Amino acid sequence: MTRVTLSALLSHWWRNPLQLFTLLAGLALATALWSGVQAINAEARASYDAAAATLGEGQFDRLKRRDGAPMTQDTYIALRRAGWLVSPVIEGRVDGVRLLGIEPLTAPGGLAPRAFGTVSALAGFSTGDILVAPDTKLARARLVVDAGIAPDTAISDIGTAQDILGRDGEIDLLVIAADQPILQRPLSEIAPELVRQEASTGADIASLTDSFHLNLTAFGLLSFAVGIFIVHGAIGLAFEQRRGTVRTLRALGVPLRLLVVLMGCELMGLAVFAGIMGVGLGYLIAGMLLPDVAATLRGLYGAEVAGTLQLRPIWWISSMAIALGGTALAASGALWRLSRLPLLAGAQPRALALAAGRGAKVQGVVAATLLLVAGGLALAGGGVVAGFTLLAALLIGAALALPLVLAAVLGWASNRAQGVTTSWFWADTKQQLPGLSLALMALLLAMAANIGVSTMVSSFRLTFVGFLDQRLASELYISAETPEQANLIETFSQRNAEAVLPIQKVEIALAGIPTEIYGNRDHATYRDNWQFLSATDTPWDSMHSGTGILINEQLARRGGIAIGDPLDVATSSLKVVGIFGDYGNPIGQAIIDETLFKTMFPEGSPTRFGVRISPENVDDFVAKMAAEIGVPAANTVNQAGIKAFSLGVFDRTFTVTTALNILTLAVAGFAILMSLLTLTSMRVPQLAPAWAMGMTRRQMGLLELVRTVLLALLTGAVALPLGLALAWVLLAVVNVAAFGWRLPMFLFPLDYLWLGGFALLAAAIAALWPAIRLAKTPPSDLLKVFSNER
Amino acid sequence: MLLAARNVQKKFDTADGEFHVLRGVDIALDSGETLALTGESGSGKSTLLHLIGGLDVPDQGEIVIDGTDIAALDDNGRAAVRRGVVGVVFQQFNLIPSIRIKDNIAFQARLAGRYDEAWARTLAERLGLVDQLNKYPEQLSGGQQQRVAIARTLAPRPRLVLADEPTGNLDEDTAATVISILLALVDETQAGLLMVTHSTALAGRMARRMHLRVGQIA
Repeated sequence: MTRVTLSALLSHWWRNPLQLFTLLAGLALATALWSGVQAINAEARASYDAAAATLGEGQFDRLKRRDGAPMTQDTYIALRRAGWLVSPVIEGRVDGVRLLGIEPLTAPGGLAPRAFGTVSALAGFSTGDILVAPDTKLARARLVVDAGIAPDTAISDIGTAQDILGRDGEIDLLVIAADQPILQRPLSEIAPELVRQEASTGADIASLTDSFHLNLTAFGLLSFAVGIFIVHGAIGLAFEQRRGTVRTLRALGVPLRLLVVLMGCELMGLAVFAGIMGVGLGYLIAGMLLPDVAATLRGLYGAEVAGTLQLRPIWWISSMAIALGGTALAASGALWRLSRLPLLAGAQPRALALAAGRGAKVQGVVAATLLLVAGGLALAGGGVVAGFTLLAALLIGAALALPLVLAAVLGWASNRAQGVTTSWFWADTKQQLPGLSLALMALLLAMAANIGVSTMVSSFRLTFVGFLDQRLASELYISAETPEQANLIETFSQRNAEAVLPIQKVEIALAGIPTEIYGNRDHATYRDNWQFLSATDTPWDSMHSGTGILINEQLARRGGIAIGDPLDVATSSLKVVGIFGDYGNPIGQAIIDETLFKTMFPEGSPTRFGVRISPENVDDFVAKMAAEIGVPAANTVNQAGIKAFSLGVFDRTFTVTTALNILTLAVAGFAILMSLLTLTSMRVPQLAPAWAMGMTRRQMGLLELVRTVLLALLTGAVALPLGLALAWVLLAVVNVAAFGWRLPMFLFPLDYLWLGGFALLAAAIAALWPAIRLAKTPPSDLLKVFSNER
Repeated sequence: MLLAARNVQKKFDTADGEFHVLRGVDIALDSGETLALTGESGSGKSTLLHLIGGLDVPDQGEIVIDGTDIAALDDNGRAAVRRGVVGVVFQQFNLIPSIRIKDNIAFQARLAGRYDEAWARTLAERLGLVDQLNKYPEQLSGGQQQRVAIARTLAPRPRLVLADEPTGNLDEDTAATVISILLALVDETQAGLLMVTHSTALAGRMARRMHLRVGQIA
């Protein structure tokens, strides 16, 4: 009995390959989007883990010179003699590869590479072996490949690294072992020029990269939600079409339980097949996107991510679990309805509409509840988890509300229609709604995600460009290699440029938060270009009078500091007179007057200069500086170059999300196509009377096209406010919680118009084929509806 | 006695309140006997047939088929009765559209575990379906589809055949042919036949007739 029943059930797919294809494709696409994002995340995380395992980055406190210059070996020896358990590290780049020199015998546990499992390996390392990740392109002898090394990183003994980098006797930083002797002479006595950086300072990339991954995961989930709607729709329609067969099977004596079990197994089998296809497709997507993701993370956060993809078990297992779980979720409702289906209920043409009508009240209550939860969280919630809960409640609530909104609009239009054809069109469109609602929900989510993300990205970009204009107001920036050279540059620039603005900083802790503090010269460049998020009436005057301090948003938020609050800096207490936006910076930043800075931090000297000069004179200035004081052009960067580089890095950041957006929209378009194709065959009994009464098949096909575009248009109208709400949540809730700063939100009507046009086009393309099929329905098929012999 | 239904009652909930479709119907049928059940639309003919076929359960009364009260069975028990004891010929044929005619004919017999290829072949020959065996239902005319439905019902040699307006969708000539074949086959298998029909002519070809009026035997 099982075999014969199963063969009857499976025969449906053989006779309806299009349905089978759409079901498999919907599930595969849903899995692909999810697994693609997970693959990227897994790959990036693996790279960080390798970095952490080999370099101990972020695990240990470090000692560095306040001025950022290298220290000598004498400092290291003095600290060791004073009982400090520190280990030296030197860092540089060779052939584009990050070279780290460490001292293996003093390196704290967890810092040394895993390869030091044997005495011979350690001996080889100490005498010149260089450990590299697979595929690292480094033109050096004695390379030892170690899969545990971070991508584009090489690790050698510090002596070897000093030789390679040509920096004999220099040390960049000292790593402090976690366990230290109880009694130590204080650092200020041994090496007052050194500053201790906590393990969680700006060197810790984890929080920033986690934020990036959080965004990617959110998009992955959103894409998967779109996919689940598709799968749900495909399974629902497949069940709807097999309703008659199921009834017959039961009438012939197949037990209901057997039917439910067999249909569940059948779907799980299909899910396994589609899941495997989806994982493969996701691998391709990830492979295409990963170079951009790697570039983004490298450029923005300094994290090294391999640009190649490995088939990691964790993400393909999770993707398969999601595929099976998603199918189970989507199928559970259909199977439940099947188990409740009265044996004698016929396969009515309006069964979907009737079922939808019965469930509308429940759906409305759930939608309203979710939207209320979203509203509550928007008013009272805080943190990343609350932000994402708010996103989920908002999106799912809006998706569930969509069919009800559309039904109301169509009902309103139907009541006001004048002509016969128009009345029929509206009524027929309303009847089609239940069959299309899942696809339209998918389209709604895709469009809202597009609007939300593009608003966020464009707001980010607009703010970022303004921020660059503010921060890079000078036409030319010059780096000094030594304090002597810095003096030469300042003197030369004062003679040959309109103004020179020294950039000097030290790293300290303000309100317990790691902060870079700058000493700024009083100049119109700052007064004219800088904008504050909040400030007193005269922030610049207060700051340059030596009583005020300007701080960035991150420091203000994390330290709970507001305008007018006092802030202890070194031995003084300064009043916070301005808070400025500092987008992308993970740590605190503060600005005080140049004179006060020199008093407080006499050891700090400028290492960079901003030079105000007419843009057309920049080249002459650089050439003359090289000729007169020997500062090479390589030490200069003109403003345009920095901006272009910064914007380039920024744009790459969002290549991934843009690609995901397009894919999501394409998947939603596919959902519409699939639903329409599936519905076409069910439409004949509904269209035949209209045809019989004088409407042409061409007219009906055209109306089908118009109907789809109209529904997409109405969906777009709902998607716009939803997308803007999504953007607001991302900018005002999630971004603040994840990054520590809030972005201003801008609106981009032209972008939304383009997006709307694109979505309508996708819907029209999706509807074209079914419309043509409908227009070409043979009259014999239409006649069968009226035939007594049917 | 093959079939003995006693005091069968059934009501449905409607927007206007409870509607009593069957108000205590008694009916009996022996093996090899044919019985026509006639009545106005809404008199409860099809409901009674569905209850006897185990497709629905009565609110009250008993329906004993071959010694088993199917009204007392659970869903699985009634499914077993439908598979092995009773065969139903539906007005709308209810063939499985995705499998071929030969598999449709064999389907119920296979479910019951009583598939006899020679008998299935005989049925196909007698019903004029030999040339249609590899086709799908949608490729057949209504009369041909009804013949397939009859072949499927008779393939497992059920003890009781129920037919719900089996010729309601057929023209007069085709209907006459189909009924002749059905009666002949039922006679050969010594099954009992209970047929619901509007047609007086068709009812006249059955051994006995019963008329149902407002849920009761008239």
